[in-house]
Formats: sequence, structure tokens, C-alpha cells
Amino acid sequence: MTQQGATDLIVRMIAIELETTEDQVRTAGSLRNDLGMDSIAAANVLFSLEQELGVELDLDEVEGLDSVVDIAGLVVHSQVLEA
Amino acid sequence: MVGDKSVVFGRPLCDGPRMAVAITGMGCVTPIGIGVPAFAQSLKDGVSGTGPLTRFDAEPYECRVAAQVDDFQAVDFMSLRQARALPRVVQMGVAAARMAMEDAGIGAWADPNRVGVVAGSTGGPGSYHFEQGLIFVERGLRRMHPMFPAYGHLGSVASECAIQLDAHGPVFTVSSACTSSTDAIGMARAMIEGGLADVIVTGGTDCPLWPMLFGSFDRLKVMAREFNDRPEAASRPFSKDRDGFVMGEAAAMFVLERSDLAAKRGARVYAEVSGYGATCDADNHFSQEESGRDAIRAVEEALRQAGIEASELDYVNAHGSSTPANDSFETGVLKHVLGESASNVPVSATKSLVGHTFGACGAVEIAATLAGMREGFVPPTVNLEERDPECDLDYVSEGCRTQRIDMALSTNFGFGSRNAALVLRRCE
Repeated sequence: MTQQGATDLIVRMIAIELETTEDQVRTAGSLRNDLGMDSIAAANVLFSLEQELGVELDLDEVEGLDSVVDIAGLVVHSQVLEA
Repeated sequence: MVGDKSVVFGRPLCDGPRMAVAITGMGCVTPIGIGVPAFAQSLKDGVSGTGPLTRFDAEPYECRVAAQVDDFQAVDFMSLRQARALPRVVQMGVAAARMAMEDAGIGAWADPNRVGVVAGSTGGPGSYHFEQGLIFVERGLRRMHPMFPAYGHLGSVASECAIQLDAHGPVFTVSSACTSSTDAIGMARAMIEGGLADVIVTGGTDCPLWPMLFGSFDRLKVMAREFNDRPEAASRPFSKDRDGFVMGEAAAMFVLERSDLAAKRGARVYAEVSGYGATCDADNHFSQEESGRDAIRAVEEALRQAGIEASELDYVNAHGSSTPANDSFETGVLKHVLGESASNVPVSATKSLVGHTFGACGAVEIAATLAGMREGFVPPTVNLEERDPECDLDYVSEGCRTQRIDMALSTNFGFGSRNAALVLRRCE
């Protein structure tokens, strides 16, 4: 999967979890402050990404996730590790 | 023995003045139709919902027949997030509850603080436990679904309905084996009567089709084994050659509300829940006590609360599970209760069409009864080609029968030797 493809998937999973639009996810500065993502929602997003991508993400990092870029970093990290 | 009129039943279970409770909405997800109109049409047409077991590998089991709901799409009834995350049993319950609320026209007039949920389910999210347990063992705690603590308990069936319906009154799940949803409806009625709520969404949901549970019942040899090549004929209550039940999945939910409030808002009322009886043989885990003493007591209590004689019943929707033990036992109970009118009251088994949906069965059977009450027909018992000599009532085996139903009885019996009965009174 390309980096853009991974980002699109992350945005989609966040939008589903937070029951909002993908545009709102893309323009949010802070997922926590702007869209109300809490640690449970973040864990659900990571879980969904694991299912979609077939990778294992570091769930210990869930507290620090606040943007699409943060989550993309986790995904990239896991794919590098698995490769 | 069943039929012995000398049995002493003791004092009635409940006395005192009662506030009438009306059913004003219903919804269902069943193997023969999603939504009451489709379900009712299948009842009239005698469409069987039993087929080959395909939910998982059937090869290891003697029984390879099931009543599956294969066309249910959760996302039709909830957000994509909920459809991805919630256990199937909760999804089906929520779907039925949403349909019931819409059907009842519950809107802004209702005070959310006076709206409750009482859901019945035997196993609730049991398959979710199974799946997450496997993940825990094979991959560790961190790979389990983050929402397991929220969705993995029986109470989640009712709490998710409350969350999605904005019900802020009393909310809980009743689990009493195969009488779960009958008891849930009875409890909901009692709570409205007692002033705890004005509106309660109630009924049942169960999805027992998962390998460990299915296999456990297969080992007990209580499921149909001789009809794997004719799965549509496998559920055959009251038949001489019945050899067990067909496991199925379903949900059926109703809106119960105070009759005076329903009348005030001009709601369409399907029926009044006029009586409820619940007893336990306290005898064993698998079957009813032979005399039928407590089963009879449950039915008689429901009739007593309704203020009618058994001879006034127009229809009985029987538990009719298609097991050798239940159907002859139940026939004896009904013959005792109905007395001289036994041969005049049609008795049918909805399980012949939808299989045994465990904790949802009572609710599905109430939905069938209400559909018949509303449209003027008695649902049939299909697959009854040669009756058991011990089963000698009018089982409506010729197909759907056109008939007005004003008073109906629904009975259910369950593991733990539980007995439950509801009486419904038609409202114009």
C-alpha cells in the first residue's frame, strides 16, 4: 500500500469511528480537541486498521495519538518492522 | 401427571389493581423475514426458514441444519461504526428495536426519562466471548477488541438499545434460557404497571449459531439429525418422527406503553398484554418436571391476570420446539388448562418455520401472534405430516388459517425447568 493509500484508509477509519466526514478529519488540527477523539476511540481506530492492513500496531502509543500523521507514523513503523 | 386436576396450585402470584399495558410497535429480524410485513407474509405462506448450516463448518456435527438470517445487514439500521464493532446479537436486537420504535411512532412527546429497555437473551454476546477468547489465548490481551468490556456482557444487549434509542429509564437484560424474551415482556409489563416507566422497548435477541455452543447441543442429541438432506423439513413440532429442534437466530422487539397514554396520543394498539405467569419447576436443568404442575401454574396465572377462562382463548402459540420431550409434555399441559375446550382452540408452533431461536423465541412467537391478530389469520405448524399419538390437539397443520383472534396465549419452556406464559388481548 502506498503512503497516500494508507493515509486515505486512516482518514476513513477515523471518520467511521468518530461518525464524522472524511473532510472534517482531514482538516482537523487536533483529533482530540476538534473531533473529541478519546483513548477508546483511538484504540478502536487502531484495531480497525489492524484488521484492514493485517498488521499489529503498538497500542501502548494510543494516549499520544492526536492527528492523522501520528497514526500514519505508527502504521509506517509497523510495516517497516514487519518487512 | 399432566392432566391431574387434583394438583394444588397455591395462591395466585400477583394480586391488586393493574394498569393496562399496550403494545404499540413491533420489529423483527428472523430467518423468514426482516421487518414485520415480510415476516407476516412468510407466516401466511408457510415459508420455512430452516436450511443447511453454512455459518461455519457443519461437517463435525450430526445436525447440519440451522435457521440462519443470511440477509441481515447491520448498516441498514445503524452507523458504520456500530455495524463494524457491535456483536451480531446486539446488532439484531438494536435493528428490531429501531423498527419497533418507528412503528410505534415514539417521538418527541415521550419523556426519555420514562422510556426503558428490557431485552431478553439467553446467551447474549456468547460468540463474541468465544472469538475474543481465542484471540486472547492465541495472540494475547493486546490484540483483543478494545470494546470487549463494553460489549462482552449480557447487559450490553439492552444498554446498546438504550444508547441508540435515547432511553433514560430502567434498562436491563433478562436471561432465563428459552423463556428470556417472554419473561422480558412480562417484566416490562410489570414495570409499567408499577409506575417505573411509561414506555418500555422489550423483546428478545439471540444468535446461538457459533461452533462451541452448537456443538454442545449436538452432543446432547437434542437437535434434529435425521433431516440433513431435507433441512426445510427438520423442524416438525408434534410430528411422530420429530427428532429435535433446529437452532436458529432472531430478534423481535416491541414497544409497550401505558394504555391510557397510548390512547391519548391516538396510537395504533396491536394488543394489550393482559397476563403473564412465570414459574420454575426447580427440578433439573434440562427438562420440565413430569407432572407439569408448575408449567400449568404459569399458564393459569397468566389467564387469571387476564381475567378470562381458558375456553375464551382463540389461539395458542405453543413453545412447540420439535423435541420428543417438549411437544408431548406441552400438549398435556395445554389439555389440562384448556379442559373441555382443548379440541376447539387452534395451537400452532412458529418454531416449525423459524427454528428455535433460544432467548428470542418467545418474542418471535408474540410477533407471529400479533401478526395473526392484526391480519386475521392463525399461523400454521408446517411439516406436521403424521402426528404423534400423544399430540392430539388442533395444530393448524393444513396451512395458514383465516380466523379472527381476540384472545391469545403464548407459552414457553426453558432450561432450568422454567415456564412462562403471556396472554394478549386484541384491541380495536
